[in-house]
Amino acid sequence: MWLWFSKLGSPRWFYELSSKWLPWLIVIMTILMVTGIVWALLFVPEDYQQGHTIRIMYIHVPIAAISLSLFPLMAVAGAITLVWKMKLADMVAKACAPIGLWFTGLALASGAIWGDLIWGTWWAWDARLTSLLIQFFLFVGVVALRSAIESPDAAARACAILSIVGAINVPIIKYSVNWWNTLHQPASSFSTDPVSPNPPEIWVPLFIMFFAVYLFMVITLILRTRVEILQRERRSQWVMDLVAGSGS
Amino acid sequence: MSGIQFSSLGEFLLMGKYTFHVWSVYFLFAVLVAANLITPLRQKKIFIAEQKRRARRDQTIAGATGAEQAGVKS
Repeated sequence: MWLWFSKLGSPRWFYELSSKWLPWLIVIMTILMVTGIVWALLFVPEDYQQGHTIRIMYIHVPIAAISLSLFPLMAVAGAITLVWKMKLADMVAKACAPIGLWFTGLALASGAIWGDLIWGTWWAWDARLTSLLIQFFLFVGVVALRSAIESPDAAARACAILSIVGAINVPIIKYSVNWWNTLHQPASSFSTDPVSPNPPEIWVPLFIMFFAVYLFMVITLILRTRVEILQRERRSQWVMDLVAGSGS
Repeated sequence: MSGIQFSSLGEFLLMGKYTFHVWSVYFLFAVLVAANLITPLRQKKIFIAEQKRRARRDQTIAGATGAEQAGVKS
């Protein structure tokens, strides 16, 4: 177990393993995403109340759900950096922040666009929306902190602490719709019954999009981590060989 | 699975009366996907180009120093 842990922490090992996995992940993600988008845009029936705006759900829900998983991931990577000083964990933590910023930004923007139609307002200081906005600013804070501190070790420590403290906001976002009476609806239940309010023809494409967007997040996280590995290991022989052997 | 919900391309592009709202979300999603793929790929390309330039510069300096030292000895 410990051997596996230390091997996983090796940037070179991660780089080489991800080189083998990336093409497969990209192929699976592309198939899922094309299927999910085509299904959501063309085949999902119009909602009796929301009409075609139901198609916004297939982007908003996966993006918002995955934006919530990025902050704990960054906090766990930060904790590993603080406790075991694992270089790769800090590289992953650094890669998480801009992706989280993008995902949370789109969750807020798509929610505002959808809200304009179904709530009649772009924004409300409701618990779910406000806590997600706080997450957005926390991601801005982590990105800014990383670029403001010159020493990489000090930046890693400061970002790890901010990530761990900021992760307190994640359960608040998740359960805000249950704890408070919010404009935002609580989580929906799904049924295999074709006459239920959420039959399979509604949630199957949603699950496909969820897996597609999740895979996309993993792919972009791997790509950003790989760049970080190259930059930090640029004096290692294996990176010099890789640079010398590359065509561009 | 239900069939295609639109009878024409025009109807599909219109999305009922919600053209702006539906398509702007899908457009923003496309921007997110493109930006998060292009950024790391571009960073890698820049890194490799920079490292190659540095290696060439180091080789030139090493070559010049070597020639200088050979000149001093002779």
